[in-house]
Amino acid sequence: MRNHVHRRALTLAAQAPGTRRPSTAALLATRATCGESAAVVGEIEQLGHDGWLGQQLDPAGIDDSALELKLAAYPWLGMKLHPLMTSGQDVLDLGEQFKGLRLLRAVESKRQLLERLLLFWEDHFNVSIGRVHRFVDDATVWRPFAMGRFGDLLRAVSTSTSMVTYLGNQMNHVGAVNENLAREILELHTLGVTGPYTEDDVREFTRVLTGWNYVQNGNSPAFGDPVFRPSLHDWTPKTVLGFQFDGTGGEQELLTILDHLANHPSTIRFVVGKLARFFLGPHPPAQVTARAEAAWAASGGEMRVVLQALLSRSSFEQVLHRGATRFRRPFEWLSWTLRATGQPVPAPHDALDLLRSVGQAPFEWGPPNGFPDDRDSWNGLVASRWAVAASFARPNGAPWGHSAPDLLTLLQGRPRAQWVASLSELSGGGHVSASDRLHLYRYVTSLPATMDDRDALGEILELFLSCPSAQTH
Amino acid sequence: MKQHGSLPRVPALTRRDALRAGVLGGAVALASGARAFARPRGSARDTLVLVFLRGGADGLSVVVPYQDAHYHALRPNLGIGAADVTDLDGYFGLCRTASAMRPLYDAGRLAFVQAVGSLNPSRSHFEAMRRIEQAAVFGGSLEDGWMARHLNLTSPASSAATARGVAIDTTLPDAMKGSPTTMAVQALHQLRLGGPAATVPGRSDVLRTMLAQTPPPDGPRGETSLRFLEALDGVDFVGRPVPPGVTYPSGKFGSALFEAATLIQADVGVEAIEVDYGGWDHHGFSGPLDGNLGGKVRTLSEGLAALMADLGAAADRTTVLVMSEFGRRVDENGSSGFDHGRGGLAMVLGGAHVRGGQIFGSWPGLAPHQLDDDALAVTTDLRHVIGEILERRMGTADLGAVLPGYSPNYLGIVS
Repeated sequence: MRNHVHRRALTLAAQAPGTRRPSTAALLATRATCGESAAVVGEIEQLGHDGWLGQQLDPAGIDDSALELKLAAYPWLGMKLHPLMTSGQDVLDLGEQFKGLRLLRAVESKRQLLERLLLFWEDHFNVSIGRVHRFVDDATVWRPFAMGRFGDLLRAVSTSTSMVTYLGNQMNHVGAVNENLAREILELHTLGVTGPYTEDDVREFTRVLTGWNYVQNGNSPAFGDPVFRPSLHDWTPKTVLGFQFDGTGGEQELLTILDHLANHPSTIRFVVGKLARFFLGPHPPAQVTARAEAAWAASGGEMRVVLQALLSRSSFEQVLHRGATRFRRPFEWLSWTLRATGQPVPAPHDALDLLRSVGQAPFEWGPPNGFPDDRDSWNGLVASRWAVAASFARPNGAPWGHSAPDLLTLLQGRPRAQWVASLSELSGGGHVSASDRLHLYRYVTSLPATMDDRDALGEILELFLSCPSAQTH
Repeated sequence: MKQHGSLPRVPALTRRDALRAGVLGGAVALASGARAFARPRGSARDTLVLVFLRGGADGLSVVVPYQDAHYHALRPNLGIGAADVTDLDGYFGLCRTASAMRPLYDAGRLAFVQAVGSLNPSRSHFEAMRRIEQAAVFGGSLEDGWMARHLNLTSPASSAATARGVAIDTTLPDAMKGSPTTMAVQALHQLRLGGPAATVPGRSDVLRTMLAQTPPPDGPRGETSLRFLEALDGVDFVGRPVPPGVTYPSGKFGSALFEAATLIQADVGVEAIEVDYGGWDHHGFSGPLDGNLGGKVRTLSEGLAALMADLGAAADRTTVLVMSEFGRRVDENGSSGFDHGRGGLAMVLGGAHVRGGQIFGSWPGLAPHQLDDDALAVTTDLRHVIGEILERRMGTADLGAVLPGYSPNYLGIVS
């Protein structure tokens, strides 16, 4: 498969060395995936912008068996807590592997839009892993609802053992409250900090959340499952966000509030705004976000419909018109690096080391707001990418091991003067600027002819991955 | 009075410096080696070390109103009593978890500010942090942070400066956003170009050329990173010896402080260093004495004590400001923790210029009618502390633009 990609890329490179007119297809390839590559650009060209998008919006219809086969080597993925804890495995180590496997899924899944959307939800509903629950809940909470109704995802996350324990709701009891989860559901997950709620709403909502807990008996097969404990719930009247509860509703109180929040205009505006910046870059066109908000309201929060509105060809034409780039976050830069160069994803622990080196290890952001998504948060940390690019380009026995020989085989038959154009095409074209390509070209052609091709490839691959325009997309 | 001034100062010299200076060993010979980037003397500017306790630190478990009956009534289980403090002024006591800082306080090099915070009442972590870091108390967002504005409006303290603001952090904090001279790095010892040494100059050149042609903010900030990385060539962020008796706490925070001290001693023109210390959101199982919170306070105070001792004479041109986005509620919650509050604790440390050994601020009291919605009220605007340090120690050129809408009313914490 990889060779096919490379052959195709080199053909493209020969046809149009280093140049490519930006198109909505090229922009879709970089914004709706975990990193553009010649292969995905080819897919989009073949199916058309909206055709490819339609396919990606139905992830179940995409054959992802190659990745699934690899993931089958980690049978604990998707296991429930009780069998996991009694299996004798080192669950803390499994948590580390789970983080590293995030890179494998991002790089190799054919369901690229789903994986990118999950990167969004992983931040929007951030739970950092110091505990086991997050990776246990991944298969039953985050993944199944990601492209469905927002209300279903919100309900699943809010009552999940991961979120309940992350934000301390297992300690939120009648007469002994803890407002952590209530505040963050309102501020971070739904209405947004400028939304229509007060400190009183936070306190009343906290009482609604009393009793939402998890099965703490380690001997029970249901260990770790979410549970509503009536004895810990506050059964007195409450007034929250305009709802008057007489106090007899029990678990229904939370479900009523979450349903209300899931399609509240403030929630729609807040979440669509974040989605638009994540997929389209800073300052998304107002017409596009308005269309996505309307799609949310009309569909009751179906993410497929919302994404269709955000990512359609007509939306991308407006985004393209603005010409603004988005700064790749470190994870995105690394997954692009692997996808663009066709290199294999390192084994989980090595992948995690690499992710930590570039500064964005998944599930390791401590506070509940998730990794930031603005340019200024990240563009002052490029030096760590330069260091990773240097070692990635010259593996010298590093654990992520080498496959630059593949690249070498492909490039060696070509004059060095064409290497930059070839690398550019391999990586989906377009996003490394003409100016950067010129300087890279000058550098690689100025290397002494006596320098070994392997060393020369290390030089140019490092600089290609480090150049300023490769940090954006 | 400044006992620590007599500690031997070990300059941040590495083997490479030693070779450059033509000496091969011996502390005395090393100490006479010259730094390549010595800052011109006579500069009145300090390096500011900003320690942000993210999550909302409970100041009442550090500088404890242990003689207050309301305090103990609101914290029947988590209140800290006379047995666990050393008295400060008959009303407040320093919690034993912070005992490593006590000598600094007694020596007048550590000042506390109680009931301090943003005038904006938000109890959201992220809103409160943003408002403090942008110094946008009310109204909408500003595009940049107060530290970035200060650096943009004030000429560099050193002509050799590359990065003027450095965050040892996972991302660039809001306070430093908006200036081309700020950058962030997870750990300073990671800052170097890899690959073969022989081609480093060539690769640096092409990177520099590409960055110079890249529009702001990415281009200038990338150039800053590259120049900073080059300026640090030869600075030893791993094996630098520390004075006898100095031990930084293990873990990220201790390492970051060690690197901050190394950076200050390397004298490469950095004017502000931000060190993040997260994880202060103690809603549950807080353990103010021997639990999670107590452990964090211990790490904080041991870290600060190590930093000041390590800095030696350089402490006289260093000001350390420790702050958090808000304090926590006075009453304990049902989970042996504290929910989000208002007034918090700030600390200022440094050399002779700090008027330490005092608790600044106006104490609002803890009686029910004195609380702000169950929390310690904010009686001191955090900008009084920031503004005073900027004006008296950082040579800020346009305070009105750095802290828009602020009228100075300093407490006299630094000279």
